[in-house]
Parts: sequence; structure tokens; C-alpha cells
Amino acid sequence: MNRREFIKTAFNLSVLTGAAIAVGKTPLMAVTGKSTVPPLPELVAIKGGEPGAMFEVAIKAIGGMGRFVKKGQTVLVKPNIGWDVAPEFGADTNPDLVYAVIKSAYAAGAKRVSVFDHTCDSWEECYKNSGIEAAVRSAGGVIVPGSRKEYYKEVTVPGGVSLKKAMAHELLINSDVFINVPVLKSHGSAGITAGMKNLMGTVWDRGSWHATDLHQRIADFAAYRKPDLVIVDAYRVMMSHGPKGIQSLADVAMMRTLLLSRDLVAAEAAAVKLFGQEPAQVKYLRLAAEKGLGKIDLSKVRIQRIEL
Amino acid sequence: MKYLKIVRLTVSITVFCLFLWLFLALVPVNTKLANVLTYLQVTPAYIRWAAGIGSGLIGLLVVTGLTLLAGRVYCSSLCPLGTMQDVAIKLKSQKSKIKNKYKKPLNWLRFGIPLLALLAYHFGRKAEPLMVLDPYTEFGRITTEIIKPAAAFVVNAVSYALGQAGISAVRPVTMHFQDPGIVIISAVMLALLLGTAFFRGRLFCNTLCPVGGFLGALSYLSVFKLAMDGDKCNSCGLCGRLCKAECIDTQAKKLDFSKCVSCYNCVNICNRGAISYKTRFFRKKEVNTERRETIKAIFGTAAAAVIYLSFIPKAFAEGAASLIPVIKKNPVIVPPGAGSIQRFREMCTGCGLCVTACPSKVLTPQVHNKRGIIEQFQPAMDYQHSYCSFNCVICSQVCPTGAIKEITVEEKHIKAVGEAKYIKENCVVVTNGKPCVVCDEHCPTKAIMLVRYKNGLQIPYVREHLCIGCGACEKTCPAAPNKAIYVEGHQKHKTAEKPKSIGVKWEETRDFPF
Repeated sequence: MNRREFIKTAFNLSVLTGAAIAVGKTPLMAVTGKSTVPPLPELVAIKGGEPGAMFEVAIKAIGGMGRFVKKGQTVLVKPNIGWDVAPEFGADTNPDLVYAVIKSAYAAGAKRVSVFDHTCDSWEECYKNSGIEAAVRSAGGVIVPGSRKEYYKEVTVPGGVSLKKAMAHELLINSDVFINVPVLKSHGSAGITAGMKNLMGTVWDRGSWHATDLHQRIADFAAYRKPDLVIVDAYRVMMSHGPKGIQSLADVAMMRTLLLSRDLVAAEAAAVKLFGQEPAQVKYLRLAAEKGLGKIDLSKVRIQRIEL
Repeated sequence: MKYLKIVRLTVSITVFCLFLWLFLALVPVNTKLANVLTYLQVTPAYIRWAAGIGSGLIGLLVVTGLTLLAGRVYCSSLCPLGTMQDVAIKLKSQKSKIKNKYKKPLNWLRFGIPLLALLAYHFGRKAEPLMVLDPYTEFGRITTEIIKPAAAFVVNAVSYALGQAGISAVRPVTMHFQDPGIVIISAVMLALLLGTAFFRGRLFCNTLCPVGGFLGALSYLSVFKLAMDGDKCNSCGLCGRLCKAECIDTQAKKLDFSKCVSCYNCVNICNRGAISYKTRFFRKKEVNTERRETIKAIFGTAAAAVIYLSFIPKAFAEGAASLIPVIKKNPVIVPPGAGSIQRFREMCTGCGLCVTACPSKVLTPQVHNKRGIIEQFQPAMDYQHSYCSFNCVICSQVCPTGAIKEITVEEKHIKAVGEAKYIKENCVVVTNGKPCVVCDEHCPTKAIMLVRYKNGLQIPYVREHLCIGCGACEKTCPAAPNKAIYVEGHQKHKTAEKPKSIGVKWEETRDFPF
């Protein structure tokens, strides 16, 4: 393409875009174009309801599932299923929330919604006792093994400081849409854990992260594939003894909150705030923000707050 | 009496298929099925009984009762290893020209082995002879170590292929870590069994099998016995050729009922109805020379057994020196429910049912520690490859011998099988200067707590009174080649304290904190 062609193409494109803004009234266009429709929030925080009901309201507020999932697309929903612990202790993502997300993705026209996690405890027990396998099946989703090596392929991590290559699950590599659905909880060394650490469940060689440079590797891998949507489950929050917990309800705070965003860093920062800490104090989050993966400063994020 | 064979075939095929399904464990093991199936297995029932677990005696009585009534029904209907041999025998009868003929039994061997096994267990609590030769155990080990990996390979390939098409109907099967030694031994056993079955029918059952020998001796006393009617028999030889136990002498028109495995092939094939069950009370008295020889053999081997027992070392003593390697003082860790290493040693035959049922695959027959070759059949906790799931007690629910006593999840939560030991110098936080504490993440009781190290880093500290020795810390510790945290086994299991919650410091506010 020589310079003339480039200018022509660029000109044509800008004309087209202008026309589209003039004609189009879709909310997505409204964000960039001059319109009376208020811009969509970058982060939706909702509290006071049941997981499924909160999700329905929040997803509408952020522009509807149709904004993220188009007809015929394959979708990966990645909850935290890391621990062989019952749902009421908040070690894994709420199964009702997972159910609602899958249903919503199918309603938006998804061809297939798959769910997996490379669990910490033995996978059969995690899938079963977290209640997530049953939730996925009843929502019509596909529950995929995450603890078998044949599903993992080597990928290059762009801009990786410590982590340059990783073995990633083929669903993370190949799915058209990636929805990260972590649970917020306490964490021994990282302070808290939510969406970014949830990505550790999409790689095979997770043990090496601990052996080398955990925080840097968490931040590095976040650049591999940005989620199309992050849904932080802060319905039941394990405030201490995380990430696995000691199966004690006394450790669980009923926050009844969800956070939705396309910005993994912003969602994580809001989650840290919910937990009563400062985002800048969480090292992997700071590193990710420095990499330009999202906004850590919530004052610069357009937030819609909803109470049910 | 032709229906006898149909009944035998139906029962044996059903029992065999159920056993195969149980040990392949392609779906999580059904503990009820496990309990029902193993209830009538002679060796597990005997060990349960010897340990004073009530259900053992009932199982034992049922099988001995059946034998005293109608002979070794167990051998052809209930024994999974018997039916496994029958598969090879069936192949032969369709293809080969090899024919069975009557062979005199090696009485000193076939009665000697059960007697030796019984004496060794009864007086010395030595389970080794049973571990090697018990047919149920042998079937379990062969299935778990040889057949299951093959089945798992196929299932996992199918599961992956279907998964690519978006179908999650077939769940993959996780194999336990397989020690090459155990695999080789099991493969050799399988080859020997199928080989002898092909050429010599139920030779194993009538020479080496302790259960076969025991029931064979009992069947001298059976009320109903299969016998040949010399008047009806025309010595055509059909029954002898079909007899897999090699117990019919068609020339002498005699049937050695103590060798008979009650398959009823002869009853079915005889056109003249010359073989049928007869009550011993209506038979002519004759001097049974064979029985005399048998009694001689029994006493002979009993003497040999006593001599053998006086030479073998006393039963394994707790904390014996042979268990002490350089780093771990007690590398053998047995599952919660076993109570102590000693108790487990005495009661486990190594059938592998817990190994195949274990969802986390922490239970494996293993050789990493310097145990005797036969002791390696007995599973132990393999923290190199996995760790014990906090909420799981399935091994205690399926164990047929009671070596792993049934416990509840609540009991398990405080059952300490070992204790974590931390080696600070090996820890990656110290060697690497970066945060890790994956051990703290995985610890189910928070026996591991974090304490301050330099530069804002944290290192683990073990609170022994909370540790149950599940091995999660050891398995996940990324330090290499030596772990920074490992579990030292308890010879006798202890009771740990229940962890306490420190409570939640969180108050609901109307507003979001951002």
C-alpha cells in the first residue's frame, strides 16, 4: 500500500464512520459520537440482591450482553472453581451467577458457552462440590476439563517481563468471547484475589509462577488476552483464611455485590476497595496498571452505582 | 440340572462385570456397590473378622456355608479372578486343540498355601501371602494397574474428541501415579494367569490360590457333591475334556470334588446325565485314600509353616529402623481411617480399590521408600504427585478388609496422619526473594500461617496442633529439587485441633467505597 492508497482508504473510512455515527443510534456508537444518549459506564457496581438478579440489572446497565456476544460466537466463561469447598464459604465463584451469565450469553445468540478451570484441589471434587458443574449443565453450557495437559498449547505473552511464554488452555486461545467471572476473597500473600489471579486457572504451568515471580507473572499474563467482560463476584466474600478457607461461615461477609467492567484493572481496583484496601498496595495490580492494561485510578473511571 | 450352568453363567458374568466397572472407576466410585460386591470376598471378610469387625464373619459364614452345602460355588460364580481366567479358557475351547485331562492335585501346595497364609496371618499378622495370592486382591491389582490405564487412555481420547465438538458427556479419567515395579509385577501376574488358564484351566485355583485351597478342603465335607454315576457313564470323555479344573478322571469314572470349581460344564455336556449332585449321606462307605493323603499333607505343611513362622522376623514394629531414610523419618503415610501404620500393614492386602476410587489420586502403591517388595503392594499417601482431599473419605468407605476404617468427614478434618515440617533454607521466598507461600493457599486447616520475613515478604510457619498431614503443602511447594515443606508421617495417627475463625472485620455500609 503506497501513501496515496493509504490516504484514500483512510478518507473513505472516515466518511463511512461519520455516516455511521449520523445514522446509527446504537449505544456503542453513542459513546464515541456526539449524541444526547449518556455514555455507557465503564464500571457497573451493584449491590443488595441475589447473584442472578443483580447480574440481570448490571448487564443491562453496561449495554446488554449483545454488546459482548454476537450471534454464532463461541464464549468462554471462566469462573474460579479452584477449591473443593461448598458454595456458602465463598472460595469459588457463585454457581447461580455462573448460571445467569451462561443463560445470558446464549440469549445473546452464543453458539457455545464453555466453562473450565485448572483447579488447585482435585478437579472432580472441585467441579462437583462448588456446584458449578451442575449450574453449567443446567444452563446448557459445556463443562470442559481443565486439568488435562492435552488441552493446553504454548502461547507467547506480549510484553512479558518475567513470563514470556505460557501453556494456555485452548479455550482461552480460541474462544471468540472471553468472560472472566472471578470471586473476590482474601489471599495469604497477594492480599486479595479476584480477576487477575483467576487467570492462573487458564494456564498449565502455574506452579512455576510461584517459584519465580508471582506478582510480575500475574501482571504479565493479563496482557495475553484481555477479557471482553469481567464480572467480579462479591456476593459472599471470604475475608480471612483465603483463598481456600477453613470452611467457616464466620470468615464470610455477605457483601451481596457484583462488579462489571471491560477493564480488568479497574474491576480489580474496585474489588480491592470493597475489601477495604488500597489498589496501589496490591503489587500485581500496580504492575498491570504500569503496563497500561487498564485504569487503577477509579476517579478516572466512569462508574454507575446501583442499589437494589 | 442343566439350569445350574445358566445360573452360574448369569451370576458370574454379572459379578465380574460389576467388579470390572468398580475397579475401572470411569465415573466416581459408588461406595454402596463396592460394599455389596466385596462383602462375600473371602480374604477381606476374613481380615475384617480377625480384626473384630462384625460384618466379616457374616460374609465368611455365607461363603463357607455355600461350600459346605454344594461345593466351591464361590470359585466360579463370585470370584472375579476366576471369571477372568474363564475368559482365557473360553478362547481356548473355541480355537485350540488343547484338551483338559485329569491331573493329580499337588495337595501339599494347594492345602499348604492357605494353611500357611492362615497361620501367618493368625499368629504373626503377616498379610504378605494373602497380598500376593488372594484372588480378589490379584484381580483388583491387575485391573487397577493394567486394564484401567488402557481403558483410561481410550476414554480420555474419546472425551477430548467429543470436547472439541462441544460435547462434555464423557468425563476424562485421572490415573494415579503408576510405579513401574508394581505395573511389571501386575503384568507378569496377568500373563501367567491367562497363560496357565489357556493351557491348564483353573490350575492357579487348585495350586496357588489360598481361597481355592481353603474351600477345596471344606468341600470334602459338602452335603451335596457332584459325582459320576458309573452305571450311566460310558467313558466318552466329553466331560473330562471340558473340565477346566482337571478334576474328572473319565477312565476311572471319578470326579475329585475338592478340585471342582462348580462350573457345571460337565453336567451340561453329558448326554447321559451321568454327573449330578448327590448327597453324601446316601453313598456307599469306601476308604477314601485321597482324603487320607490330604490330611497327611495338611499336617505336613502345618509343621513346615510353624518352622517358617519361627524364622521370620516378628511383626513389623512401630518406628523400626528399616523405615528411616535420611530426610523423612517416616516416609510411609497411611490414609486417615487406617489408625496406625502397624494396623494398616496388618490388614491391607493391596487390592487397589481405594487407589482406583481416590479422586485426588494421592493413594498409590509406591516404592520411593525402602519398603519390602511385597509391602509396596499396599498403597500409601503419595505427596509427590498429589495430596489428600480435605472433604473426602471414600477410601474408608470402600475398603473391604477394614484396613481403612470408615470415618466421617468431621472425623477426618481433625485426623492427623502426619505433620508438616518447614525447611526455611529451601523456601523459594528465601532463595528467590519473591513472594510465594503457595503452601498457605492450599492448607485446609491453616496450620500454616504467614509470618514476617525481610523486605515485606512472608514465610510460612507451621502450627503443629492444627496440622493433619494432608500433604497439600508438600505437593504444591515449588522448591526444587528438595521441597521446603514436607510431611513427616505419624506411626499412630493423632487428633488435631479444629481451626478457629478469627471473625470478619467488615461492616455493611450504604455506599460503595469508591
